[in-house]
Amino acid sequence: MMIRKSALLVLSLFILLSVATIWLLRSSWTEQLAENTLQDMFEAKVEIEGLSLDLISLKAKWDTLVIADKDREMFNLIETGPAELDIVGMPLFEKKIIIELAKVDGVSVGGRRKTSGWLEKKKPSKAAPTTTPTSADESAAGGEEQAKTLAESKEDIPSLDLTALTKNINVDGLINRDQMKSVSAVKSTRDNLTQTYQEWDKRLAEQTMVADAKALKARIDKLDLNTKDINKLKKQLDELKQIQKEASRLQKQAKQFKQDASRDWKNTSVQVKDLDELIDKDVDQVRSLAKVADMDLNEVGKVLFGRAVIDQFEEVLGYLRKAKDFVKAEEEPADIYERRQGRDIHFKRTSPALPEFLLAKAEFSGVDREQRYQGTLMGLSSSARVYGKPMHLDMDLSSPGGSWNVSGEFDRTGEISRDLIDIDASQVDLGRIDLQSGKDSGLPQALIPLDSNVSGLFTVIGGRLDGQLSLKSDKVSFDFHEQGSDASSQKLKRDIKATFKDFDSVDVVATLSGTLSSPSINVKSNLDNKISARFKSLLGKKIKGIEDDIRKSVKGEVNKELNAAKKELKDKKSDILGRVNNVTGSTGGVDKRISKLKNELEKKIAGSIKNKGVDELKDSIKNFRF
Amino acid sequence: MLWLKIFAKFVKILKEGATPGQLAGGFSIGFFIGLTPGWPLHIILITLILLLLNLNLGMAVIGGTLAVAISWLLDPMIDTVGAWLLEDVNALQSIWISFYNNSLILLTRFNNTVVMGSFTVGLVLLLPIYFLIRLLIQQYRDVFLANLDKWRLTRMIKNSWIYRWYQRASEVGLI
Repeated sequence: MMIRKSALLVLSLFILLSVATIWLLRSSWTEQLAENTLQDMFEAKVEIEGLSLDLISLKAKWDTLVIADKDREMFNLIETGPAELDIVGMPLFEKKIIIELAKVDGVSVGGRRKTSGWLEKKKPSKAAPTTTPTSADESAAGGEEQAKTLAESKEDIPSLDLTALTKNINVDGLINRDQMKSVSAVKSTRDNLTQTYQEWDKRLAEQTMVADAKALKARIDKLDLNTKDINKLKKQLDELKQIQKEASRLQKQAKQFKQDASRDWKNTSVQVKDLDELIDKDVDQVRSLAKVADMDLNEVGKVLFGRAVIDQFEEVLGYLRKAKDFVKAEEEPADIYERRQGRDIHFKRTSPALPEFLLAKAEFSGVDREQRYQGTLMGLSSSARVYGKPMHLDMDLSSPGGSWNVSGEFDRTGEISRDLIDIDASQVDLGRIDLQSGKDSGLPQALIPLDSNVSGLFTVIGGRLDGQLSLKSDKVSFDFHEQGSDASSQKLKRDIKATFKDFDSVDVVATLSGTLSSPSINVKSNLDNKISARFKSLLGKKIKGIEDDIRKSVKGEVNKELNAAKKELKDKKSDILGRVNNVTGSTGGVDKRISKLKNELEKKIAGSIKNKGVDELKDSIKNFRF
Repeated sequence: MLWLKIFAKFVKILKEGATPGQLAGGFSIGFFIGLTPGWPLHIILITLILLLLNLNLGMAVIGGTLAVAISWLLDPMIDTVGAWLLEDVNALQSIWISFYNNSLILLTRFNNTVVMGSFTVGLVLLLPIYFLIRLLIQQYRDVFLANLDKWRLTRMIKNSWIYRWYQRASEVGLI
């Protein structure tokens, strides 16, 4: 068979033209391809400038890369300067971009954008989300929820307004009767009392036990025990046995009636007793309104450092959320059978499985707000499950204040996601840490630690949260708000300031635990006990006096209603239980009488039978003839 | 009129020009290409071979079109053949695994049941179709065409006003 010469010519021309076109358009074509791939990954605009691709050595370079933040329209997630990439060739045939090594300089995060970074098709909509969340996205959503709850928990930290103690607290003015739990409980107890009384009054009126007992007694009275006729005596005995059965049933009914009454009235008494606990709660509420809620000072660490710690937790969890977004666990969609589509059969991989996109190793460096950082990122992939390895981050930051190391592992390879961030810094200057205490609280406004050691470990496994942030500083000072105008408050503020004067070292340990949906924070410091003791000696008597006043006022309000309730309970309870006793008493005594009569009847019957036998014997002897 | 033109061209192809081997070769390779859905790597290579060899492209188009229709109808059977080869024949598993781990061979989409099934069916039918078509063309030329003018029906058609009108119209270039 001959070769078609014309086809050979056309084919050669076609190949030449294709190569030339690819060569001329390689930059814009590869730029477009890379931008689209990254946009799919980050769900935000991606801009690459100066991208060049060497098809022979498979090396790529770019001048700048900007990836927008999908959650913040006018901010960038990351910006980079010049970069060099080593691309693996063979996977390109499978439309997979595998970068073996990337060297990136000038990395910075969170820069401002001139234009919106949202992709038109992926613009978030409140009414209808545009993307279906994967398991990793769901975890990230959990992270959002987490941040919100943490922000809320900041408000839950008790505010310690020590200067409130210098003012005369109008406790009566703080008490709102309508909102007092104990007062409303007394009211509802009295309502229950009335209802129970009415119910028992009705039951007593409707009961037939007294009438039934009377009827039984009348039936007993009717019995004729003087007859000598043995047959009549037997009939009387049968009737008596019937009456005994009915009397026994009546007594059981009366016993149950009495038990019900005792139970109902016991419950009502318990409700009245529970009021004491509610009074304690009302006292706590008024203490809170008087801003002396946590004067027991058990949580000084939380009060002093809690808000600042939550800010740190939020920042770390913010990075964790971003990492969650990058590291995806998506699997290939299931094949759907259609004609001429077939099914793809997957075989064992003898070489490592590759995801659509993989950045095996990236070495990066950059400067951001006086912080110079460099590090490595390994295993950033479009599908961690396909790649089978978690993403690792190791980063060193250096600033004029000292140097930090941040490392992390973000694992989406299994059913349960596992994220870990480890932070370490030694001998760093943290500057001024705003403690966010109220202006009039009298407490320090800021902590200024020098040469601090900071360590933190945060893990999120599935929905479970665990985190610990520890700050140790051998040299600290506290900064206070300006003195108030009020003379008594000025004195107290001076005293409080003096309380913090001798502390040279601070050791704060904050722990984050619980689940993503309900996290809890605990903060302990080496100052807790010392400050607590000093505050108690300084303010203890004043605090106790205020608490006693509050308790007295609350009890005064409740007692008016409570005493009336207790009297009503006593009267109604004795009335009902007395009437119940009367009813049950009326059914008593019948059984004893019946037993007595039954014995008499049985004796008489036995006697009659004996007499009848003797008479018959006598008659037999009389009539005997030889 | 287009269909009439295509038909006329087809008849002309059968009648003269290319050899029965070139016609049958074009048809059978076109049929092979048409059976497989999409453009996996091996189909692109076979198409290039078809273009390079001096085979009849018109017959290849006809064979391909016919194969598309047939493969649509026989899809379940083709799918079963492919699935059987890929999943049930243990002796082939090691080959499939080595293919699966080669990025270049993966471009053939050999691991797709329909692609594998149509490749196998096409391969099996390639030579029978070639010989059958060649025989038919030979028979058409030697037997059918040689006796065509002798038939009464042919004479009737040639004497009809429609045929005469068609000839005049094609002479002036209307058709």
